[in-house]
Amino acid sequence: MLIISFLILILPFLFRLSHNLLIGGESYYFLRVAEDPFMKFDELSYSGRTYLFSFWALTISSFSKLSNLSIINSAKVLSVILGLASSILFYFILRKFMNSITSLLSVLIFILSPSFLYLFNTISDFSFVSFFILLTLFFMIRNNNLAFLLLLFIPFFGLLHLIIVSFLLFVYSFSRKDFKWLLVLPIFFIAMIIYLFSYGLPELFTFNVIENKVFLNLISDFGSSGLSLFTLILSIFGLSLLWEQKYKNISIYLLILFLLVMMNFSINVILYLSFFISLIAALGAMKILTTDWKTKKIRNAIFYILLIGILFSFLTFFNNFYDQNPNQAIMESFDFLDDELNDDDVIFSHYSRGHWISYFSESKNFMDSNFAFAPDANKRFIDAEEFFYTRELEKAEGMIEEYSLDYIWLDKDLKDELWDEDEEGLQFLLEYSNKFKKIYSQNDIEIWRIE
Amino acid sequence: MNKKVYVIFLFVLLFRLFFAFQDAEFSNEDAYLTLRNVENIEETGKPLFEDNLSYGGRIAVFLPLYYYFLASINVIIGNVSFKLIPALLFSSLVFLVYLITKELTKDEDSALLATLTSAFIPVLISNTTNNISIFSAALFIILLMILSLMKIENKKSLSLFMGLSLLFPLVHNMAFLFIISLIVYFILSIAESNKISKIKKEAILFSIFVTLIIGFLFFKDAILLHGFNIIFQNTPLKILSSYFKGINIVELIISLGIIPLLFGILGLSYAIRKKNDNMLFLTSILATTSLLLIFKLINFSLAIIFLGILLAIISSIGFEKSFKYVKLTKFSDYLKYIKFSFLILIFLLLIIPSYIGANDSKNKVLNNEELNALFWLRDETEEDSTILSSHEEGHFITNIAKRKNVIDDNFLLIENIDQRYNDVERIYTTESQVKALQALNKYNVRYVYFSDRTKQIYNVDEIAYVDDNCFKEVYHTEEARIYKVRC
Repeated sequence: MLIISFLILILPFLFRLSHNLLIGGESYYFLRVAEDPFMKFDELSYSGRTYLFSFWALTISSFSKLSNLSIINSAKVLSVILGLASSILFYFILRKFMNSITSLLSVLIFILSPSFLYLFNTISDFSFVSFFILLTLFFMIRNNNLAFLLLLFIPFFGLLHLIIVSFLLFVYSFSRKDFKWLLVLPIFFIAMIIYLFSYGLPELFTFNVIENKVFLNLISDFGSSGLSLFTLILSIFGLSLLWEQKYKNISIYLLILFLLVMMNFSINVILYLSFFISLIAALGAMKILTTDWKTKKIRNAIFYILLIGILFSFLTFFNNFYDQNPNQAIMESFDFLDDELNDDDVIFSHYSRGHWISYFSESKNFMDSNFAFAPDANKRFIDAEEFFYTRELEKAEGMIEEYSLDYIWLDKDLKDELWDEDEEGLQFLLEYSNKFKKIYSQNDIEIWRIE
Repeated sequence: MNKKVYVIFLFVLLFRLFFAFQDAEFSNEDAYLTLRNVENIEETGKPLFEDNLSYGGRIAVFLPLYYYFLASINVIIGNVSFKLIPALLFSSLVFLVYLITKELTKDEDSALLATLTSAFIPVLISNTTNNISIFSAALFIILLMILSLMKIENKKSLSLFMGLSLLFPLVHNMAFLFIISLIVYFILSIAESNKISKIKKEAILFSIFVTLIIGFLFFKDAILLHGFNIIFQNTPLKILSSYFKGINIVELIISLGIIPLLFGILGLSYAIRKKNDNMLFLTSILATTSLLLIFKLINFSLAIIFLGILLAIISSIGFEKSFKYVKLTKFSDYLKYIKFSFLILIFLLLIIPSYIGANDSKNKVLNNEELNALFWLRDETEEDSTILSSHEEGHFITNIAKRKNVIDDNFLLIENIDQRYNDVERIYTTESQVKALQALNKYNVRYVYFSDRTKQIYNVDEIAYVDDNCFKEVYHTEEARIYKVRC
């Protein structure tokens, strides 16, 4: 199991060794802030915003200094270690409650879930926090007071994690009638108030981005990094097993419901959900095998279809995953841009490209996917949509002036995603207005300077 | 198996082949999509999931197994397979209908009469005689699944049912109709206190499970794009709204066949009172198909054909009960003659209308003038040009003219389909040249194909705005014209 886990964690890095680039946008946010984990103000994100301290960035930075590895290599090594350690901890936690076969099957389903592959390969803080939570739980079920010490670190991981862990702790304590762990809740509560006083109330997002669509993100076969459809089907069998004891397992139902709700705020919460769903799916597999079937042929067919389906879903995801952007061409375009830029220049692109802009060209982005506590996130999102789809120069100029935009960066995937036709929206203005000058056009990537 | 069934089979096969080989072309536009897919499989090993010609280039989603099956037979016996295989499959339905009706009635004569009835349902013959219809495979599999589920206690039937459960969702989306019917059967069984055996329950669960998974994997992109509307297969609203348009009840009854309808209803009324498990199952399928038809969730022709076959199957009970009743009366000595008179009725009310229907279906075949116009497009136009045609002629453009079309009847995964459908309709029907040119330029149309078929579809005699400035008539015959767009 450890070998499988290790291979899953290491292979995407190996496949991308030629350009040594990480996958996704969030990775580049943490790589950038790991260079200066104690910064007070992030000058590049959203053209300047208050920086929210990240314990994960500090850990990468510290590990880099201790190991003498570059930031990017430290992040990779740490991710692999955390992935492996999380798998092991998950197994030992389950062993406390389940037999070894169910525990091993749960871990296997977990490490074959796209969310595991995604989050432990994209330098996400969720990988770090989930390891921390597992470690804490490991000590908690052994009644070891070291868990208290670990729990005290949770407030440093951010408001979202704080809320999630508080709820987990609450449900855990009540279901096991072990209330001493609730002693940390006042500290958590104070931490929440400090967060709210320091950064204000987070803006409620009126826009809906694909990252926040729970149903689509839940099922990896829809293209997200969620859970395999087959795992979810197995978990239905598992839930039917749990339901045999009716409300005795209400804590699990509540946790799943809660995590589904929290997925509205961050898609990465799926990682936490994966632990529970993997366990329930393993129970489902056991239910299929142990139920008294009239025909073994059907039982075996259903069982193997589901197991092969989980593997197939994983391989499909993996096949599309390791080849994702950014690639060498994107990096080169930013290298070009880096030479052109002045310090205060702002680059406009889709929010999904925001972290790349700030990392590779070390310049200010208009918007990135770090929406929480971002300045005017709603307004910026609406304005960006309008900018992408307007053919009126006056409107575009108003926006350029308001946000002091200097460059526009577009790649082919983004153009395909945004527009159906060649001269639709902003593309029309770029083509026919003197206001924009194309300064770079290679490998389907365009950079336009705003005159 | 009764030898008379083989005679019926041969009779049906010869009847079908007689009409199928009268024309080199086919009577349905979908046949041309099938041909393209088979050709592509032979060349590349894959069907046209990435189609460069349909809709000017699109990603298509469909169930590919039938195309692979045809391609593999085509490699062995050549192009004759396109005429032979559907005819063989349709004719083979008589064996399945016989076995099902035999299982239902245990009466040889009733089963044989129902078998003959099912083979000559006019709507089945007129819609499927000269076509590479996928319905042949779909109907064959669904009847085989019904039969194997009826005999599920038998180990071989169980294996067959499981195998077909895996294959069916790869062949045709009628598999979804089947699983909905199974669910309805479950519900009706609970309502009627009908006990379903455990092995049957497990087999049904397996079938539902496998169909849903395969369906999801194939149609996930379409689900993402169309959401709940996927159940209407992204069919333009105007087509949906004209779903029942022009349907005449009397014609419908004749095309379904008066005999299967009368005896089917008789059999059904008896079965409902008797609460027989197999009959409950068939009633569930009948009810599901009818409901899907009413809610426009199933292809109209397919639903009517399938209803016809189901009624023919159920009519076996009607026949059986009628014969039993006659035996109780003073006419019992004449039962032989009564049975023979049924044969004559089948000949008069089913076989003759079927013959007429098959003959009429020849009118749907592409005529020489249309073919020549399409060949002209293939030979004389630029290879990357886009040709406008009606949605019903779209596959002619891609398969025969080998050019890009603007629209065809494969609507799934096409964004803004209503707008596209309306634009095409507007081009053929508007009187404003400006509006037409706007739409033509939107889809980069270089040539407009205008045939008698197009005239019928859009109910126009001419394209009103055509003039020499912007539209040059580059091809003209009595039944087909082609205009080059110059503005």
